[in-house]
Amino acid sequence: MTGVADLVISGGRVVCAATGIDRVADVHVAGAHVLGLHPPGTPIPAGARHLDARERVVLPGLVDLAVHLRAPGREDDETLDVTLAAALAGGVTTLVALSDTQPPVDGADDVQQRLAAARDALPYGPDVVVAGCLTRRREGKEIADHADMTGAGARVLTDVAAVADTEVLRRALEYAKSSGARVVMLDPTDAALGKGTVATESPLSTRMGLRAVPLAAQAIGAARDRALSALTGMAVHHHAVTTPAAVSPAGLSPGGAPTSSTTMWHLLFDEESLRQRPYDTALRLWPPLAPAAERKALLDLVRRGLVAVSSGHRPVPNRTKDLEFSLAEPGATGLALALPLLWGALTPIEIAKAMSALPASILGLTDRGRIEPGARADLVVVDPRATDLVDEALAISRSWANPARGARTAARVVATVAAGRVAFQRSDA
Amino acid sequence: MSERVLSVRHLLGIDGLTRADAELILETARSFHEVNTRALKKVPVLRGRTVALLFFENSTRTRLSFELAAKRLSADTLSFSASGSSVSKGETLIDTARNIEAMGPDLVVMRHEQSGSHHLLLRAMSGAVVNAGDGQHEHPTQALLDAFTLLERFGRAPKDGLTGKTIAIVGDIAHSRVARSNMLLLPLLGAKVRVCGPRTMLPPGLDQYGVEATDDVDQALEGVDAVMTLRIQKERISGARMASDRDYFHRFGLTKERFKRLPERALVMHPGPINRGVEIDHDVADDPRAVILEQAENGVAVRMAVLYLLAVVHAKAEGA
Repeated sequence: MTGVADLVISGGRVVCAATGIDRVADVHVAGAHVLGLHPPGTPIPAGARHLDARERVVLPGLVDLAVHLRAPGREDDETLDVTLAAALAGGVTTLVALSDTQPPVDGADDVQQRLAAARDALPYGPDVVVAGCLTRRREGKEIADHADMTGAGARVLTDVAAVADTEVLRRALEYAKSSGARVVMLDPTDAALGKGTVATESPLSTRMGLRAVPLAAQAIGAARDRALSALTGMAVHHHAVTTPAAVSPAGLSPGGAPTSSTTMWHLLFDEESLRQRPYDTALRLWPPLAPAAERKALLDLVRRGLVAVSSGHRPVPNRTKDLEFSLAEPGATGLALALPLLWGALTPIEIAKAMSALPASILGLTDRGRIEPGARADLVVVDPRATDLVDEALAISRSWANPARGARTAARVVATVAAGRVAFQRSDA
Repeated sequence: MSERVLSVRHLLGIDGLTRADAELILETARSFHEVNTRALKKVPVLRGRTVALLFFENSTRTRLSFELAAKRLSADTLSFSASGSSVSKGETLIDTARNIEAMGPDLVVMRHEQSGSHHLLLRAMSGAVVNAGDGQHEHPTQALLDAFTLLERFGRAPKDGLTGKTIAIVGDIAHSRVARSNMLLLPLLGAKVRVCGPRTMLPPGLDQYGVEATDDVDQALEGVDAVMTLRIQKERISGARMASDRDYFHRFGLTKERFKRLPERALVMHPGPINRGVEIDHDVADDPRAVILEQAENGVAVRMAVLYLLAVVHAKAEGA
């Protein structure tokens, strides 16, 4: 890369899992791309914007695989500009907008609308990767217009929920294979076993009298999807994994085994929280929280770089949260909270892997998830010594129900650079 | 003499009660049971107090039992019945609860089809909350009246508990709040408990209750002092849990043959309402050793005790 930097982030500890870098350096940015990493103290070109990152950690911008938008259809719960602002505040520079809006992303015009709406809502916001429906209206019956949607810019296909009919899924994966979609995202939970359940089957679900899904439901669905991925050659990603039993052993199928991700909440919370806070609907999530042993084993797979982590951002307003446990809507807001809350549970390099490099590679986005010359200048600057109270202001969303309400974060995002622009900066940082 | 009080402010379940709490409720129920045999079956202990009865799920015997209990304690009662979920009615549980709270009840008794709904109710209520059955979670006053009935029949005082006695609970353990409350209370009182049902109706983690679980009903009934048959609740069962009623009756029902093989002393219990010919034989249900109607009778005394003791706890808290 040649040229002159117009943005320099100086003196930070630069951590990048993709390149293995973990050292203090100045990051020089020109336009939308990283120009290079230089020893600290390298002169800053005249006129360049300067971010002082001493005592701070600089990571590649996060790539969030699972964001449930509330616009269109549920703007009262969260508008798109708020979702995108929350992403930037959490260091997220690329996010997958799942298809489960109202109406769902079902055709080329829906894809165009989502992309245009994102640009209008926040001109220099995070890059929005639109996920279209795998089956029409997410009904699991007919194949959706894959090629129309990918032609309009969709990169991912998903119904968000599991596709119950194996024949439909087989044909949809075959059809998707040549549509230009990079990956099909699936919930591994077997639809019949998961239907109507609100807890993971365990001694605790028995004690609480809650309809529960066995962990085996994920292993069953994951095994089916793995076989179908091998049969059809279409890449599959499981986006709602809470047990290692659903994580595919690598290298089994010719096209590569399905990849997996879990959400921040399933790494930070397990059913012990439900035992301590019985029937607290802030803990009502999908998939339901798993036993502690599953969470710990999954955390280990994340540390080893085998499972990605998303925010699972799914804002739920008090209107649908302040209900009986089984009737409450599952979900928690997370975009602005993932990195600050996971800090410490994961090391910086583990975060860079699980929340940036790995999800970027799952999406086939080779220009990000890494800090090196030529890469997209998506960067997040973290103050590892500052903490914040998890409240409505920090969560940003007006639908801010989440399991960590009232807790303190372990770190603070002080600045986010998206495609070379300082898109977010804490005023008190 | 220092007055004994409960360690809890609400009765949300047997979970959280101490042995002393259980004994206190059962001893107090004995006194009220005596009141219930008098010509004038009324005591003035809750005069001027209001008991709200919120029944969000169809119930006849439990609602009538609580209502009579409140009236015999001289309390005023407010009654609210609605079937179906609160959401389908358009008003949320918390809104309904706030409206009831505005009328100032001292005690709130609620039955609800959703497990754990009392935790939501607590947010709106300043008075004591009593669980009259929540989904598949707990039905604590049913377990207390079952224990009361057993103690009476065995001629034991509550402080002596049920040590040395073996009680079998047969039926759909997975969907039963009665089973859950009894699996907590009976072992707390020292009884040995066996639970039995088809494997589809035995949920995971039964060992946490300290009970033995089996799908062999004849083994479960061997040498028991009492057998509690549970109602097969088809309305709560989803999917494939059982075959036909007939198949169930032959494999798990309390048939005449199984009843004959029970020890002479063994009692037959059922929380009602009964499905004759499904979980229990028609004639066995009417046998003198079936204490089903005594259970219903004792329920009033036990509920009087619960309401009274919680009112005492709250009066103390307010005075403090």
